[in-house]
Amino acid sequence: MRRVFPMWVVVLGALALPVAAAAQERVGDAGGSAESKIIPPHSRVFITPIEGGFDTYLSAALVKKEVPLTVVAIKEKADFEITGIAESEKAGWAKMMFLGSGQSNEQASIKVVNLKTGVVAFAYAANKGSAARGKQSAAESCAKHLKARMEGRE
Amino acid sequence: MTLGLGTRIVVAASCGLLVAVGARGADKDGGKTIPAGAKVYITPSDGFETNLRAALAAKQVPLTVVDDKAMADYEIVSHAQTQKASTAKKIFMGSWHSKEEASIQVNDLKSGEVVFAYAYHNDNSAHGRKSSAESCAKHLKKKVK
Repeated sequence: MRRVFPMWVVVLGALALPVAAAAQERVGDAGGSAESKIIPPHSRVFITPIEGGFDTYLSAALVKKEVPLTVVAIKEKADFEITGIAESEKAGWAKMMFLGSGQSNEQASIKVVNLKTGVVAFAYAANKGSAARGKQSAAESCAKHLKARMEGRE
Repeated sequence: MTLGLGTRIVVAASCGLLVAVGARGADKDGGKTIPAGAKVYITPSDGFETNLRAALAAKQVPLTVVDDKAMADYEIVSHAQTQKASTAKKIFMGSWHSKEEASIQVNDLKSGEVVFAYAYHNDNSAHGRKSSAESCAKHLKKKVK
């Protein structure tokens, strides 16, 4: 006996297809489209003041690592904004005694937000157990990875 | 005397490499310079601004420091941190010198661009904040043309 495929299944399937497609599109957009996450070279970035003066270290790191961005001091003139936090923990007596190291622990994290779309285009966290150059090391790590991202290496 | 094809290729490649290296060096230096004699305002930063002012004079940086931001062409924003040698550092590391960290950035007040930025770090600074301020001034001097 030949089995007939029920008509209601076909209709339901036809209705479900566009719904599924739309849902997939939303999932894709959840993290922002690929274009909105691109940081074009020579974009203008504003670095929001960060506790402990980390913003100036970051500015110096962007120059040192030759990140192709123009840092501006006025937010209205910027395309992107860098915000972040940084924390330093100096070496204790035990570290000096047992490890013979007076280097500090550094933690920093930054995020780059596209000011037009509001999309977070880049985010990175650095943790240096024994930073040879303190905040400078953490800032340069952030700058290095930002450059790698811009060049499509990450 | 005529050169062989192989020699000519080597010479051409070497010339190309030299030109590329030269161009890269120029790029790294950056196109933005600070004109000599420009007026700069140093934003107060926990007393480091006085060290910086003294360092600019000591290193003969050709900039004019002004007290009024409205009269300035550039603004120097800085941050400095000093950490005195702890007892543990004195005993275990045998060092009485302080740890110094400093960073400065020079903003063009007209365009709003950051034209220079530099960070300094020294675990055993011989002259404390004076050392960090003079290092900043020395590197800033290279940018002033």
